[in-house]
Amino acid sequence: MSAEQVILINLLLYLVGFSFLIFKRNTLSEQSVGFLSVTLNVIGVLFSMGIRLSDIMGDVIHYDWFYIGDTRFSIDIIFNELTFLMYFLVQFIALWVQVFSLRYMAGDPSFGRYYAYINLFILAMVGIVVSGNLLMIYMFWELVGVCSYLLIGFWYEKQSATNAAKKAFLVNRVGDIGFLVGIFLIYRYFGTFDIAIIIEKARLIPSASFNNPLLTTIGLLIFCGCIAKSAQLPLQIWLPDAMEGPTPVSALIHAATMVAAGIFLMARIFPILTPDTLLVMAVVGTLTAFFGACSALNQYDIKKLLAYSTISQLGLMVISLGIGAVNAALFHLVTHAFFKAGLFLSAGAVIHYTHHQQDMRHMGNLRRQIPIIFYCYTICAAALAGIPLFSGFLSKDAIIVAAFEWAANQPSQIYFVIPAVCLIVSGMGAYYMMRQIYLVFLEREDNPLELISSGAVSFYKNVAKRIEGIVKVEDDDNEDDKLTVEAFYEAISVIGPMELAVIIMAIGSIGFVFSLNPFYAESSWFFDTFPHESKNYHWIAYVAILVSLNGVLLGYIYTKEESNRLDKYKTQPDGFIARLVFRNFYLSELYQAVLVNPMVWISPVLHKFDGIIIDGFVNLMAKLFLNISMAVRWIEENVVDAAVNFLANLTNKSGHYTRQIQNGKAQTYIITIFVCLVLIIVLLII
Amino acid sequence: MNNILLSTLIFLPVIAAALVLLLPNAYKDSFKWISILVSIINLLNIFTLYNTFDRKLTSFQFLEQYEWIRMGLGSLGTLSIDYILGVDGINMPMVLLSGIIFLAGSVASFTIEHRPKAYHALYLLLTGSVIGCFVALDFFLFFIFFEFMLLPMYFLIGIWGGERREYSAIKFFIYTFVGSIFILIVMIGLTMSVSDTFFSQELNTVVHTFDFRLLADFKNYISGSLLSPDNSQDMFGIPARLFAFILLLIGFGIKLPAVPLHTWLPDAHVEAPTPVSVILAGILLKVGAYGFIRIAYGFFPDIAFEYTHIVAGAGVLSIIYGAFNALAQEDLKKMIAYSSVSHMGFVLLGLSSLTAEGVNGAIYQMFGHGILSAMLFLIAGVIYDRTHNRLIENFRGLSSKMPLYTMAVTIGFFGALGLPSLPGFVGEFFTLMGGFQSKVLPDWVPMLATLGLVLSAGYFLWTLQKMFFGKFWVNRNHEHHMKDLDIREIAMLYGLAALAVIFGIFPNLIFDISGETVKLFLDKF
Repeated sequence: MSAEQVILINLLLYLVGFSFLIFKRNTLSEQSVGFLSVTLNVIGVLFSMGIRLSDIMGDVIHYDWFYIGDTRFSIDIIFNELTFLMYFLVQFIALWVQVFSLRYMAGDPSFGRYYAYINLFILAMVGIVVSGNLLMIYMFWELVGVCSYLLIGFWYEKQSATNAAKKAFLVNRVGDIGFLVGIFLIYRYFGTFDIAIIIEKARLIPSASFNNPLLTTIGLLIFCGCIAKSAQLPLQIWLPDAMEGPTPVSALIHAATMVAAGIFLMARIFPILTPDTLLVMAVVGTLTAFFGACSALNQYDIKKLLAYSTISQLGLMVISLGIGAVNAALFHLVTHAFFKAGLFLSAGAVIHYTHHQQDMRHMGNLRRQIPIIFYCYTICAAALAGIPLFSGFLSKDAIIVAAFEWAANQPSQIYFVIPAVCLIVSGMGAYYMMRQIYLVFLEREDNPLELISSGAVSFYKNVAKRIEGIVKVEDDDNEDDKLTVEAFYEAISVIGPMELAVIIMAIGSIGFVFSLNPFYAESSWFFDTFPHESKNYHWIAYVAILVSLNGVLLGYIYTKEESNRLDKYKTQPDGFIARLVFRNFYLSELYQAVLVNPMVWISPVLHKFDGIIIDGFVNLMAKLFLNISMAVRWIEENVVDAAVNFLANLTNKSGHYTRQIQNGKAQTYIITIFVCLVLIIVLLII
Repeated sequence: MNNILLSTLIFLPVIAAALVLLLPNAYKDSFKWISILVSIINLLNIFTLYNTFDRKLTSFQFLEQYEWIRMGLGSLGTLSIDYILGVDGINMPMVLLSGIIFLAGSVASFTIEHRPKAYHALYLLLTGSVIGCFVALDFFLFFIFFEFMLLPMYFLIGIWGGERREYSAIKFFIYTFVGSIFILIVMIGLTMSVSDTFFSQELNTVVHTFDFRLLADFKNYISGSLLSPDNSQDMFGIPARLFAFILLLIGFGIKLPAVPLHTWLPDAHVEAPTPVSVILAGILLKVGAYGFIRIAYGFFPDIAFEYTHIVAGAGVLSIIYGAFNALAQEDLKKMIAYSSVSHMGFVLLGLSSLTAEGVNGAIYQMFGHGILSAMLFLIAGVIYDRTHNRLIENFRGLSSKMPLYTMAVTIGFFGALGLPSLPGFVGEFFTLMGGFQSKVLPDWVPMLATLGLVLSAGYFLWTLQKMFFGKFWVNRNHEHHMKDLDIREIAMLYGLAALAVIFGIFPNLIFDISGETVKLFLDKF
């Protein structure tokens, strides 16, 4: 069995999972739904690892799909290192999100529906990853959009959730239009949708004519798709709202599925991107990274803060793509997937344990109550902040160094703005993560301890007791190995699915997982398969460390001060700038006013036009014909028919008069003859 | 059997209609079953037709040809009208669609209680004439069927319709009738310009023919005649062939409908009973599109090539204008009607691109839109049956009480707004792709059309949110009427949904059939 067949089977499995669960969503018990869905996902992960071990790479497989005339449209599956990376990552993160949801979604009346959508979401994302042609990518791309619509609006009775879902879909549609037109132009330019052939043909273009306007346009159009899906400026507005969905869904969207799709797409078609396109990407990425980080600085909502941090981190990835460091971008995508999933899942756990409280101002002191979550959260946050020993440091470092190297090779000093922004954004990341940890977990003067659910407290006490027991067993050298393994399983079983998922994500955020030398990104195994080199500017790494630590320190100091004067019931902060940043520069409101409202306004106007002018014309014609026929009727009655009647009357009358001549009296006849004779004579004479 | 298959498709329903009329009213419960039975037999026959259709051939298949009327015209020669039926890659998908839609419609007609005898007789008559219109290969025969469709439609809307049914029915009738007059003019002009060379020699006189196959071939035009390609005669200041082409555009544009000839459609849809709406959107609009391909483009390729941007313009205008109007609607059925206008615009866009992708895409879009619009009108019918109300604002949160219904609506809406794996996507993708591949259209034309994709997502999602999400509420205390789908509705909606998925995932089911014919069709340009 070839790798491609395995992948097809894998896709089919998710399809079966989706269909089965959607039809049985009301009849299956939560246990069987969860068991089925998680099992399918485990099989998927095993498949992806099995493929890696079986060492079949570099193949593209084609199945005929349909023909239009002589043009073949095929189902292509491309399998290379990039495919494998994403194929594994998506399913691995999704697996732990699913495990997490077992507890988080427990008791929800739509448990089955939730897992059905998740299966479809994974299917769509894996589909994008393995697709070998742009038509297929676009199809799965749209499917991802629909899945996000279904999952963000999962609690459809909530107005805000359905609004957010609609917004996400429509904003993505706008970007997709660009992508779609880009695909059409690619087809015109290269004559195929097949990515392998497109890249091959792009290589053959002489470098002098490579940077041509058409190819740049194509690149920018496809980048439109990335702008929408990967939440870049100016279409990032849907992502903060998307947190209306269940929190594990946010983890999935922010970590491995939706937003990763845009970065993945650009990496996939990277060889056809012209220098001009790349420059635009770098600039867009820079703006996104900076403004996203700004908005993350003063959020109140635990998930919104994370959403803006995602935007900012995605901006970094796009910068990395724009400066040509594709593999650094992918590396950051991978590390980000782990720590962001960890952060969102932890946030989900916090929300779960605090009776669905999302406002960080009402939290605090949770460190004691839910220690496992706290430690995992700190690890993931440290990774985001770029603290050494954690994964985020490695990937961020690679991007920043690459950015400096790139800027140095540019003709003007102004290009150093981009690496500088990378550094600043990194510092801001450290700041807002510290702020969040402080507000949520650390001791504060006003500490609403009663928030935490009693279930969570007893649960954690229980966990602590069990772990104590295990540690004791491990200490006892007389016990044999088997018992400790059993005890280990027992420990896992008491930890519970939510904590387990968070722990796995936290482990994935530790630097050692990626590189044995956690201070030096280039020694990571990642760059063995995805070569990335930087020669100079290694000292930047130390600057980056300093900036991050500074950020943490500032975050601690300012938040300590902020927490003392925090107004818990204010909807937004004071001050114009703070408010501007808090509301994400009022972009949503701007679009509403400038784009959506005119559309909503113009449609009734056009409808009026339709009714009054076009239909009015039709009705006018009808009336005109009616009036003409009325006139004709009048003429008919008063002229034509009148003439006929007149003739009839005339005949009648004349008959009446002439009748009187024939009255049978001889005298009358003689007089008549006489008159007639006279008349004839007169006529003859004349 | 194969050699009378097409005639069977036409005359079985007609005979059944006579049967319904002859049966006494005591059997009135059986009428709907007769309708369904005939529709099923027709669909099975069409299925045989579809399976035995040779995908490699470009000529007409299942040909039936009988001499019908021979009329001497004195010095003008002889007029020859034949009974010719046949299918190729262009009308085969339409025949398949008719089979599906008429079955769905007959199931939807189950609830008709008012004068069932007349209703089902007319319905069966309509079935026969619509299929006849698609398979007729003689212009005269085509025209007879084309006109004959009006009669049952007029009564079906006028008797079983809503409040303003008389107005809508007469509007529909007059609109379409005006269109057919234009077509009639062109038909006479064409016939008088074309001679059947073979018979002309045999009979030693000029034999004027209505045969589609001969009309499509420039060889048969009498040199110097009114509509001959080498003629430079003017009519009202424009070349005669261009004049005829414009008449055809208007005639079939009304039927399609293309903006600004569309205003009969929302009225007719709103007033028509559900099954008639289904037929109207699902199959009758396609007659207009079919006329565009077969007659306007098929017989006037020289003019069409030169003026194809006008058709593209009408297409794009319909797409955007229809979408904006759909956005403004408060009535669910009217919203769907305007979305039909918008989606039929893609047919014009694809056809006018004169590329293999575009024309095949247009044929696919006709088929796909037929399935989806039928589904959408059935969806509107479901709530109308329960509450006699269709205003979007009167419903909220239906998904909690009617999950099966909501799922069908979701499939239908997402199919219509172009979700991959459903037919709307394939049609829109390939018509747009044709637009971009086209050598005759500028890039901004399809670019403008993509705006329709965003707008259609807008109005469908908006409706979905307003009616199906949120807390359950129905205006005027109709809450207790809102039962989920019954078994008949499930069969219709999910049957169509299944077909939509099948044809959406395997577009080759249509493209394989249309491909070769379209290749031949495009050779003319």
